Amino acid sequence: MTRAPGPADVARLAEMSGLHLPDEDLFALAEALSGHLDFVDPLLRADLDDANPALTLDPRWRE
Amino acid sequence: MSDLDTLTIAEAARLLRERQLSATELMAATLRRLDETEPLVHAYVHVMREGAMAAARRADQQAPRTPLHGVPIGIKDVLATRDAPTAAGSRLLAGHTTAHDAAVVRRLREAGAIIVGKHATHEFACGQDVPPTRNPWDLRHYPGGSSAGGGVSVSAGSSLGALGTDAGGSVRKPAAVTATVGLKPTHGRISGWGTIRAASAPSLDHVGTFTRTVEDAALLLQVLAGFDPADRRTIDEPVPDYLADLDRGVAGLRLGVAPGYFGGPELDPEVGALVERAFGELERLGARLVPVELPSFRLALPAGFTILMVETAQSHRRWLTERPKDYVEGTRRLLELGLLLPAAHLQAAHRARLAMREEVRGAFRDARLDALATPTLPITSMPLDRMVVERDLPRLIPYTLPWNLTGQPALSVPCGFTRAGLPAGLQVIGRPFDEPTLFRIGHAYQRPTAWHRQRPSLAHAPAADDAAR
Repeated sequence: MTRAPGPADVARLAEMSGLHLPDEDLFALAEALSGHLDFVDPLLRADLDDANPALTLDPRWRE
Repeated sequence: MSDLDTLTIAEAARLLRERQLSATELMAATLRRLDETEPLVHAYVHVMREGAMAAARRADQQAPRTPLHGVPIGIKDVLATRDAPTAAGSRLLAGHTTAHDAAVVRRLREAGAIIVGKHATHEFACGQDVPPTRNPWDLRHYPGGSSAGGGVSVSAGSSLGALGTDAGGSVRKPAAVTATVGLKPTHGRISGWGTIRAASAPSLDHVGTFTRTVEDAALLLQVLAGFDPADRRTIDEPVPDYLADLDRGVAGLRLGVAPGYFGGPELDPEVGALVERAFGELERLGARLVPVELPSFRLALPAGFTILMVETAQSHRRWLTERPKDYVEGTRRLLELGLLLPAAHLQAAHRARLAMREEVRGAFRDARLDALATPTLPITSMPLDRMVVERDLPRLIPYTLPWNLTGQPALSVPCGFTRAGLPAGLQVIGRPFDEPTLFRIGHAYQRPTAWHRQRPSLAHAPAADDAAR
C-alpha cells in the first residue's frame, strides 16, 4: 500500500460499489479500510503463483 | 442446581429409555434452571416454554426412537424455526418468522429432540450481542462469540445440547471459554439450509454443536450428518456410526503439533501450560506427538478475514443503504468494509486458502498424521468491559479460523482452568470426514480428566444496572 485511503477515496469506492454511505461514516471507514489493508498486506506479498483460486466449479449435476 | 441440570444427553437418554425419568420432568427441570440462570447470563432471546412442555408430554406417550428423544436442545438465533422468530440478533430482522425449520432443526425434531428456545447471537453472527451474554464462569467476562448463547446455556444447565454456526470459530471459541465441547464438522457434512443468509459466509460457515461430553457430540452428529439436496455445499459421503470407535482409545495415534504458524497474539502462558498438560495426558494414553510445519498458515488470518467479510457483506447491500441506523455501528462498519475490499485481495485470499489446504494435506500424508492438536484459543475469555469486537476478534481466532478455510473437522474439549477459574480448550483437527478419530481422541481425553464435569458458579454478578446494559 503506497498511500492510506482517505474519506474521499472511500466515498469514491462506495459510489462505484453502489453503496450509499453517510458523510459522517467516511472518516471512520477510511481508518478501518486502511487498517484492514495493512492487515492483509502479507497476502499480496506472498508467493502464491502456483496456487489456483480455491473457488472451483463442480460441473456434475446431482439430480 | 439439581442433579437433572448436570445430565449429559447419553445419561438422560438412558434414564428416559428405562423410564426412570420422564421427558416432562426433564423439560420442567431444564426450564427451572433456565429461569434461575437467565437473569444472570442472558443465553436465550426466545424461550418456547409452552411448546416445549407440550412436546415433552407427547414424547412421554411414545417409545424413544433415538437417544435424542425427549432431550431439550437450544438453537442459535440464525437457524430458522417454524414456531419461533429468527432475528439473527439484529433489529433489522426483529420478529422475523419463517414457515419452515432449518434442515438441522427438522432433523432434531424428527429424532425426537425438543427445542427449548433460541440462543443469543451477535448481530448477524458478526457483531456483539446487546445486552451482552455473560460467561457463567465469571459473569464479568465475554462468553466467546458468535454462538455465545449455546455455550453459556449448555454450561449453565439450561439445555443439554445446542446448535450454533461457526465461520471462524463461533462454536469452538464459546465452547472453550465455557468448558463445553464444541464441534465444527467437515464442511459439507451437515446441511446449512435454513441459516439466515445475512448471517452467513457460505464457504466458511458450518453448523456445529455444543455438548457437555464428546460422546454427546457424536450422538448429535449422528442425527445431523448427511447429504441435503437443498444445500449444494453438502457432500454425499456415507455417514458412519459415530459411536462405534469411541472407546478405542488413542494408543498408536499420531498427533501433529505445529507451534508458531498461526499468527495472532502470543499464547497466554497459563493457557499454554494447560494445553501442554493435555498433550502430555494424550501421550500418557499412548498417542505420539509429531512436530509438523505449516508455514503458509501465517496467511490464515488475513485470508480468512477477507473472505469472511466479503461473503457476509453481500446480502447487506440494500439494508446498508435503506436502514443503516438499524445496525449496531461496529457491525455496519464491518459489513461496509466487506463491500469495499479490492478484488485482488479476495483473489489472493482464495489462492492462500488453496495453498493452506494443500500444505496441510501434505503434512497429514508425509507425517502419517491422524489429527493435529492446538489450543482452541490463545487466551481465555476477556472481561466484557474491555472487549471491542472489531479490535479483539483477530486475537481470538488464530487457531480456529484456519480450519474453516480448509474445511477440516475440528473439536474443542475442555482442558482445565486458569488460576482465576476461567476455562481453556484443547482443539483437535482431523482429515475431512474423519470425525470418528476426533471423537476417539476427545473421548479418551475426557475419560481420565474431569474438567467437563465441573459446573460454573455463576459468580461475580455485575451490578444490576450493568447487567441490564
